[in-house]
Amino acid sequence: MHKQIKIFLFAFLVISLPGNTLNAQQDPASAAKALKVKMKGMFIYQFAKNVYWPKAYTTGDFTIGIYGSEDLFNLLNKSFKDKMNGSQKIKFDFYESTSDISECHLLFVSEEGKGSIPTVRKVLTDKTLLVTEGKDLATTGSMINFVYVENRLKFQINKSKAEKKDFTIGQTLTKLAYSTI
Amino acid sequence: MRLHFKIISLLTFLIMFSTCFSQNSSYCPEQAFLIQKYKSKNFLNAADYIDTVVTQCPDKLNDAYFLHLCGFINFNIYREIDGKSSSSSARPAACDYFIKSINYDNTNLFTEKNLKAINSFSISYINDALMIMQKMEFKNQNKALEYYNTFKKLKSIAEPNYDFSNISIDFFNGMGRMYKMRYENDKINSKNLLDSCINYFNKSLAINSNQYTPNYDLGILYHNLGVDIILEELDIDADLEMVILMQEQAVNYFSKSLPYLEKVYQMKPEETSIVQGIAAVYYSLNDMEKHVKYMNILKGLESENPGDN
Repeated sequence: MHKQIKIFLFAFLVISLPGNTLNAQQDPASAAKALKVKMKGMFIYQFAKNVYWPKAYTTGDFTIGIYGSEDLFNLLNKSFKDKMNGSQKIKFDFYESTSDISECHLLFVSEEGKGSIPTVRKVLTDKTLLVTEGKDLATTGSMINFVYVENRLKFQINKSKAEKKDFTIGQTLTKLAYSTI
Repeated sequence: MRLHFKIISLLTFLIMFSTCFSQNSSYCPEQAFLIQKYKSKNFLNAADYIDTVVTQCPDKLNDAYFLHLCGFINFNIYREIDGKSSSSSARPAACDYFIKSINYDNTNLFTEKNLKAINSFSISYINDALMIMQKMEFKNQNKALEYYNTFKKLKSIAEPNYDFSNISIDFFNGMGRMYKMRYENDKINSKNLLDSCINYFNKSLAINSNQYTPNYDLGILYHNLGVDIILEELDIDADLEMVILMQEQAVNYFSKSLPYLEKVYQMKPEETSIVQGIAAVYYSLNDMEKHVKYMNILKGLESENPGDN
């Protein structure tokens, strides 16, 4: 009787294990990268929604420029292109080099491009809200900066710097920011 | 001489009466007829006649022999007529009769045979449960649990000291995998199945925490949950509060995934899919130092076994 059960169990395990192994993995590396890109993209879209630009810049298209992360540009362009920010249609630009950077409302410089921030800042006009990712706001000199705190993507706001250029940071952003200076 | 003959006849009748018909003192002609039906292998007819016996001789309900006989009538219906079908109603009926027979068998005349039959049924129940899992019959998953519970009940009677550990581990892992597959087939509408899946894997690990399969399954499951909550469930237009809330849930899932994956990594340090999974979890948690560490381990493994990639 015992033997009868054991034979059955063996057959059961042999049949069920390989399928389980194949089913378990879903290219974790690319999924993890896609996840980070989506999170950043959603935050950037919300920055655009929750920061108020000076009236002079609220006509025409609303341009978001991406420097350093083509994956992020692709996601944003696919997900948010032609959506409206107030009365403005959102457009996305991808810049391969600092010399490509043109006038935009919001510029995101990814970690890959953070070495170029000093050069980037030189070409920016008052219209552009600079968003970066780095260890802290002080080193990037931007108005909004992504940081990872306890495994979570968060953002810091340099409110005084933004206000100097007449940007108004919405209450939602201020409330949800990891830190504000 | 005539007196001798009378005494012998009387004794013969008494012996036949006491051994053939019952442990009880009262004679029940309907039971004798039932035995005849059973002996002629007219099992269905015999089963139908059980009620008549009980109606005519109500005390038979406490008679170990009668209950033993009813058990075997149903035993044979299950085997010979129903072809050992899992849906045979004769199987639970037989088990009930055998258990009752044991309870009334004060002299242990039938207990050994009753226990053998119960043991045989217990195996039929667990085999039916495993068959459901082997065939991935999702619609019968509740039946599998019912069969497993019946197996445990019957086996505990047949072998009070039986160690259920190994068979329970296999059953719990099988149930966990079934729930996992059902969830993965329809993630949006099957969230409720996740708890059952996790619950069964944890039940299995509670018996033996050093198993590869449930640790691996839980590690990958939690990792995929973290990924899915952001990539599949988080609406791209969601407001910032929702983004932060769902990130929190994703981090929670990733953190839960790590101990399981690290455990299976200890068991199979050369399994590239595990190293890849751990590296991905650390990447998702933005622990880049550990992500790099495991990516380097992965590179090492892949260069050692280039054919495995």
